[in-house]
Amino acid sequence: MMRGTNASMPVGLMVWTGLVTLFIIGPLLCVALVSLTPLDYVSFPQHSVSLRWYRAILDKPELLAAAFNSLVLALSATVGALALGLPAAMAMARQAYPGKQLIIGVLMSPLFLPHILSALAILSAYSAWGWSHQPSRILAAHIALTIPYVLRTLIASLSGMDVRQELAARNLGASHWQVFWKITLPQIRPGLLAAAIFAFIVSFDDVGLSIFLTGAGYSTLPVQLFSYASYNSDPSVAAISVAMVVISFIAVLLVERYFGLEKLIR
Amino acid sequence: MTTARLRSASLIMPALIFIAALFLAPVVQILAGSFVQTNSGGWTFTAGLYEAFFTDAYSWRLLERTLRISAITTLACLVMAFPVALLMRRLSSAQRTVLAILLLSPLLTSVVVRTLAWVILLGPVGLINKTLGVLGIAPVALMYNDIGVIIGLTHVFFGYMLLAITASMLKLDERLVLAAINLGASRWQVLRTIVFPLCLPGIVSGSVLVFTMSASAYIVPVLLGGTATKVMATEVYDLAINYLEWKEAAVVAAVLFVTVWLIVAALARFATRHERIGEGG
Repeated sequence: MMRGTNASMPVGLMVWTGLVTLFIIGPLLCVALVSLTPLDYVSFPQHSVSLRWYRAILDKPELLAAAFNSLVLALSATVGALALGLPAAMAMARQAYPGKQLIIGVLMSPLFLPHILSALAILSAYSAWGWSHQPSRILAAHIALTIPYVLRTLIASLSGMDVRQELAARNLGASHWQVFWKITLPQIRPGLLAAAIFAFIVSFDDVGLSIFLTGAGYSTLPVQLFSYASYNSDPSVAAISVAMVVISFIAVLLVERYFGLEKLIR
Repeated sequence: MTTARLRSASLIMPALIFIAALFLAPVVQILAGSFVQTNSGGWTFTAGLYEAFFTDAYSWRLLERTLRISAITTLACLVMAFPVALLMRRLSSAQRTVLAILLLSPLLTSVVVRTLAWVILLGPVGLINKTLGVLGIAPVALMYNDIGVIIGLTHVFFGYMLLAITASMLKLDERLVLAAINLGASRWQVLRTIVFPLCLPGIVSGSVLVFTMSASAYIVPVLLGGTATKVMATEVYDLAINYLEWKEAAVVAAVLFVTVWLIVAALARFATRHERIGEGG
């Protein structure tokens, strides 16, 4: 690569990128600072910092319950989406099959349909079917919502691996299951982990579907934060936000560590 | 051959049936339902609800505002992301990863969190207006209007635009650029005749993503627009949850969905024609 040998870095592009980065990261940094204020209202900490607004989270049982719900929901949705998505991804990455475009269209439809439409439809249809158990309704919706992300990541991972090893194992008499456990699974483990993390984050952060499907007695963390922030503007909103960002950021670092963010770009 | 087909069918079917039954069927059901009127004798087909929607001036204002806000947001994301993607191409792999983490990690934090960050900044007693107050400047309305919504949406969806443009930017063959420079093309000419046309697929797919997501965004317009800046998505929620008018809500959602995809189809068609002209010339 000849990169960087003759042309010096264009200053204009770097300044622009710096400004854009400030626009993207700046507000989140402000939230982090506000969360440390010792004062009663939204402000930057000036003379001292305080963790009182993080402690305040613990005094809100409805928030803790919602956090617990979100965690359980995201983990269950991840398991469900992987269980359905992994077999589908293996077939889609490997074999030619009839009706390919239609099948992809259906499987990816949760990405293309606006949440406001699908959420309304799911709420109205599930209610019409007499399905009123909130946690299971929202779980079904979240599994469908996360399957496209799982498929995309797993198909990328599967098409990157050497098919000849699988063929060799098959020729030597291994069964489909043996090939899967001994050859395929070990090689796509990073992709599988990345898919799981994506599914987790998409479900954990979702508001679009959840806001229609939650209600009295069952809520998720983003929905609870949303409704709390609609009526209150104390710094605990900032503290809760930071807690959620930290969870997501750990997930991002895990993706980078095991899968590489670069692969998402390419 | 047939066993292989059977095998791949059995692998795909569970996911396919799950999404078709629990995700797509409800959408079909609610769309079909919005054309049906039940009465004592049975049901009749009618477009009455759509007629009612389109004869109401208020609906047109909502639709117009939704599309305008989405279009401006898309343009803002594009203007912000394109130069960053240009820089991405020139960075080393390690530098690119750092920049990608900085700019894309907000994509993986909740929309609520990112919108609330802007509420804290833009609000009537927010950080920006407090700072202006200290400087002796009168407070400005940055929230509860279109500007606040556009700022919020741009922040929330920027990452998708960057991902899409960077993807096509990194696929671009470096030798084409070097050849053009060797043949005496200026930097601007290279950008206009090589980089931009070859990145058009990324620009289009990024724009489609940002436009469609902005048009159906709900959280940002509620928190940053308030009741003053109602858009189609907030109308759907209000009708469904607050007034329990599910059929009317379905009509608004359906009109939004169809309008947005008509615009997207027109945009994609324009882009492919443009691409073909570029190839021919």
